[in-house]
Amino acid sequence: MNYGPLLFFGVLATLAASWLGLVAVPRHQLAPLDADLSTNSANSVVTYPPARSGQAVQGHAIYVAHGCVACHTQQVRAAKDGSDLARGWGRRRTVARDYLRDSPAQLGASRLGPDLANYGERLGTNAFNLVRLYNPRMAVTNSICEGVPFLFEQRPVGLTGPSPEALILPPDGGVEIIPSAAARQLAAYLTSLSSGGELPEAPLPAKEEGNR
Amino acid sequence: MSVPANPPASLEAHEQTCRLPVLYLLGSGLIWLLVGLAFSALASLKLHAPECLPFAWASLGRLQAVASNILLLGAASQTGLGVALWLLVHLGKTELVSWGSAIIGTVVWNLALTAGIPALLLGGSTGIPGLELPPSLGVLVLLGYLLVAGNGVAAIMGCRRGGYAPAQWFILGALLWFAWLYTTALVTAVYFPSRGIFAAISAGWFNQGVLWLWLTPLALASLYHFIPELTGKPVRSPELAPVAFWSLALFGGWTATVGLVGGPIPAWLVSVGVVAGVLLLIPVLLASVNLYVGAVGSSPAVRFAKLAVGSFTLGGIVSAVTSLRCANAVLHFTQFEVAVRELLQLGFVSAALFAGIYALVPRLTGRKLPHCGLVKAHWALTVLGLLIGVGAYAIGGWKQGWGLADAKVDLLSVNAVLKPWLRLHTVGLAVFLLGQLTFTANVVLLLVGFALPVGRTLVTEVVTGTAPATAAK
Repeated sequence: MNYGPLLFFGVLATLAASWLGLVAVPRHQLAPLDADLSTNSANSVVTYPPARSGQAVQGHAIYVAHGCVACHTQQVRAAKDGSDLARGWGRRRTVARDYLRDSPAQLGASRLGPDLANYGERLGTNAFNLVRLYNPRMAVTNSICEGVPFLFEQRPVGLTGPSPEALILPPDGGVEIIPSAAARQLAAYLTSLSSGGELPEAPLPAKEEGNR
Repeated sequence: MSVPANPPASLEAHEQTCRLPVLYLLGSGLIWLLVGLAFSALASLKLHAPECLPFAWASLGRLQAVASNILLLGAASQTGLGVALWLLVHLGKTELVSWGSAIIGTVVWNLALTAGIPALLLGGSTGIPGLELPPSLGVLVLLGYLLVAGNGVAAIMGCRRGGYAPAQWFILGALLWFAWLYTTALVTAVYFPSRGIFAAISAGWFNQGVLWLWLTPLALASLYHFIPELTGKPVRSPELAPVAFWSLALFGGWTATVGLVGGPIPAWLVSVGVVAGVLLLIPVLLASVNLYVGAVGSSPAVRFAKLAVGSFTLGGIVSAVTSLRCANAVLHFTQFEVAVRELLQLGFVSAALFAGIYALVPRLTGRKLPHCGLVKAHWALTVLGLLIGVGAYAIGGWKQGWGLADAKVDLLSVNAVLKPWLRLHTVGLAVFLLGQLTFTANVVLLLVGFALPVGRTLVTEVVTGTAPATAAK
């Protein structure tokens, strides 16, 4: 330990090894990954994962900017790694290819809130989701989610009656709640969340059973 | 609690070159610690009081991003670097090649972090865990770091002592590793992310690397030097120290994927991470044997060193066990993981650096910390805050994990059980923050003391209202 060059070399070599193994090689392995193309019953080509709508892409940026990832994961683990499938958070585990359209992918590390990988498949209507974003406790009693109330505008109901855009809420003294563009984008993004497509590397459970 | 037995009264002549940069790094590290903890406490509050502060800038995710970035890149990194620079100059019997560049580096670094707070609060996060700081500011932090760390590497190369002490190995490793980790993270995760989940792997490599190959070796360096110095006894079984160092170097970087077990990444990556996570037991246990203090000494520095070693051993063992798949299936995604991270970052790293700070402040300033009561309060509140805060998340997270593992228990019931523990965690963080404020008050009193002639303790008495007998003699 008293020979300086050896110390320098050792320090750099050890990190170089893990850099090669955990940064360079995974990048090499994952870079060629591309969307899965398959043919459906109507003989047209289906791309998985499907592209998100423009509104949903903007909603992803809002999801990132507000740090929703602090409480919500977007990953479904296999049955041996947790109760995700049993909870109905997805039909199959998520795999690398599910995340091709998100940059950066919002995997998350905390489940104070439910997993959202397949939120779009199990949610109610868009109107319900906007109420949920405005005040989570109006949709789910005792929710500890803070929501994004600041993306909504509170204003008196006009003379011609409630605006068609207003949230559907119990009448509240001539006041209506109007979602901003950002709130609608976020709702569109949540609606677009789905990782349930069939992939060769991630067959749906029924099929998996059949193969055995 | 007495001050160290025979603290060197001042710096040796060759150490004068590092006085200003070290004081500046320690001072700004302390301020970042207070700022980071305040944001952390606020974020913790919002977990159980979701309706308070209903503003975009106070979104939980934004507060958390500010807290974690400031605590890591500001508090722990700058304080650690400050202690490290002094150690290198002291152990190498050498000078800093350019103390001015170290100061300029710290200024750049501080400006970038200061700009980072409003940037993150206004929604400028990159969305990559641990690397939320806007990329341009990240580059400035890296630049500032390189200016400071360059002085450190030069001090090792200019070492005038035959051979290197363990503290020097750990610091050299930390200095080179952090530069590589942060550069790679900025390039591969932030600037040129490939599509999909690769950024998450790369960010995992950075986040685990920062814990085990940056904060841990800096804290260990402080302990490897100050424990023998303060207790007057050499480290136990010194022949184990090189093994501890090289095993940390070897396994620390491979734990990147322990936070991604079960995640959508190639299976071999998860296996590698789990194996490395368990193998980290080797450096943890070996360093713990080296640094075990026993009942010797009760100076503030020694007490913080003991707290650090205890937290390191406990946190290291728990994180090795929880990287096993069976434990991970229950505890992943819960507050238990946060508890382990807090135990390591606040209980181990921060306490190890405070041990160094208590030993260094008299040498750097030429004066003792003026108020003994505040030293005791700092120690007591730090331990109490950790016990409450980390304990609450450990217990609450444990229950949360078993609740989540049972698909028949719905999420609302899980959170209802968790809620009291979330509240308790906020209390713990607030107590911990109060502890660091008492230390800050002591430092402020010391600085105010400079305005008076040497030997006057009037300020101490007036400001704190205590009798001269309890003030430091």
